[in-house]
Amino acid sequence: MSGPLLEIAGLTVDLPGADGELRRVVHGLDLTLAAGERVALVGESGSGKSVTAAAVLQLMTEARLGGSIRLDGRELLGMRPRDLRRVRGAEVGMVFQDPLTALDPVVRVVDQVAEVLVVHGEGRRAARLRAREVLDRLGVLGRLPRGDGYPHQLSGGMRQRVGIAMAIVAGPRLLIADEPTTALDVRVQEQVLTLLDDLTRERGTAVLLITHDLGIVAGFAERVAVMRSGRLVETAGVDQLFAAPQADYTAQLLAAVPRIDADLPGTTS
Amino acid sequence: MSAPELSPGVPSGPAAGVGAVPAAAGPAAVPTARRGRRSLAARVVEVGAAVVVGLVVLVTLVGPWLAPADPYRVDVTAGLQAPGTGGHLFGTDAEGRDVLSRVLTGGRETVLSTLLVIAVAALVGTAIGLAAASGPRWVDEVLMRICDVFLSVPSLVLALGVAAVLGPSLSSAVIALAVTWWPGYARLVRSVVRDTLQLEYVAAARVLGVSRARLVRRHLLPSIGDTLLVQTTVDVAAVILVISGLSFIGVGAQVPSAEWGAMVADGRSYVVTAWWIVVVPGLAIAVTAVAAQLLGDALRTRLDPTLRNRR
Repeated sequence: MSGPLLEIAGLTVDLPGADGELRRVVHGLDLTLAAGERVALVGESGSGKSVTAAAVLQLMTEARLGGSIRLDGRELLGMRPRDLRRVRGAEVGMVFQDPLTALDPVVRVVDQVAEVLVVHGEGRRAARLRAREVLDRLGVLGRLPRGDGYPHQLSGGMRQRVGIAMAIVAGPRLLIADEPTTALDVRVQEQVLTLLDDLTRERGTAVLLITHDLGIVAGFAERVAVMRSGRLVETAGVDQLFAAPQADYTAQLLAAVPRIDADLPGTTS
Repeated sequence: MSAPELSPGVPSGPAAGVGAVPAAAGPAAVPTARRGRRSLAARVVEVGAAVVVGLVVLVTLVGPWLAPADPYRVDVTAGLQAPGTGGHLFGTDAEGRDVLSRVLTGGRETVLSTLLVIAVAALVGTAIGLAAASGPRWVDEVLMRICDVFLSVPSLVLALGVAAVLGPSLSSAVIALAVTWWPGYARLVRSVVRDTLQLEYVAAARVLGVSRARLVRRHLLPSIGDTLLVQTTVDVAAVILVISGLSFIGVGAQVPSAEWGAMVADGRSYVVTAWWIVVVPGLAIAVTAVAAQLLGDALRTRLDPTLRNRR
């Protein structure tokens, strides 16, 4: 295939602050993803990485977006809502940070996953069947009595798997994962990440992983983009970035990762 | 919500009802404050309120058939008979009509008009609240300012106006009340929906391609269900008082009618000599209002997830 899958060029995002004045939080960001490629977008809190992720699917209704976001050469910014809805879920899936709030508490899990297929034109029965398949593949169904239930019956890790099922069930070619493991404890983080890894490899899905956790980047991504204060500081292959960071900020970020073998007086880790 | 705003408009007529509500709401406020342990007393109150409300609904449905006498049959020779005499359990009024039969029959008018007011207010309010919360900002502004206009007109004054145009009748009272009552629901629904819209699952649904209409139907409406249930139950108490009050001052149901408020008004000149004409329908109003209020409070305690989890 020719050309990148996702091409973000000169993206600017302005968000209204508490006083209603627009403040620029992303200043001209360029980023491309090839089909099947896995890119991590890292940076500290407030660096604009989540805002960038949300901008791709125009999640923030109050944000003013500028620049260009192309998917397969089609411009997403300024797209008619009806067309944008066809892209959402079907071509680009998104996993959210907090599995406690990202699921509707009053909709059964299977229906919730099936809804993504239904809104993209699949029949209810077929949609439920596919939803069950995906949930089964993710190991969720076995945790629910009689194979269905409400989100509150599941643990955090299982809920995040439901979130992943919703994001991938319609077979998108790009998956945006906004800190998908931040709200989970370490062991569950690893399980969820492994599942995400396997599933996207099986399907050849490109992944834009938003995270502040450099520890999970190394094993997952092929390329890393580092953001700071709404600007891209450095983009590099993952090995190169960890071995020889070009930007000072990247080096600082890497040095700030707590190491399990480091001596920290007064702490036991 | 609407209750405290509108209760100042309640005339002093069914004094038993007005006085009884805050006083009797006290016990319900206690379990809300000490929500940690639900005492036996609180549960007795809950069940009792539910039973009374059930009885009132039953009277609404089959009351006319339970009535021992014709509620409208005038017998001047048997006027003002004391309770228990002449086969009249609750006595007769000045025209000799059986008070018990009238209370059993009139419950239908009082309760049904109350429910009608609440149903209309809740439906209109929900639709407008949803539109305000999920629509563009200018729609929100316009709808909320309209709400403000309606909230600023006291229901009593509006009822007088409606009665002047349509003639005093129970339907005038119902129309006037429905028109003044919906803004409360609109505001309530708007605030609940706005909160829900901030939740991530709404964003998640949107980002996976769910349309606006479907979002409202599948993800927003279910979340306001329990709030509405509680509010409508509590509002029964408030609306019943205002409906009866309007009838009492002569804007609502008219004289031969056995509507409770109208009965109280009818008997007020005999309150010293024949207290039962006023007290029996007055008690019916008070008991119904208090029970509905207590049931609403009980539902609130049970349905509030933050309270439920602490149990």
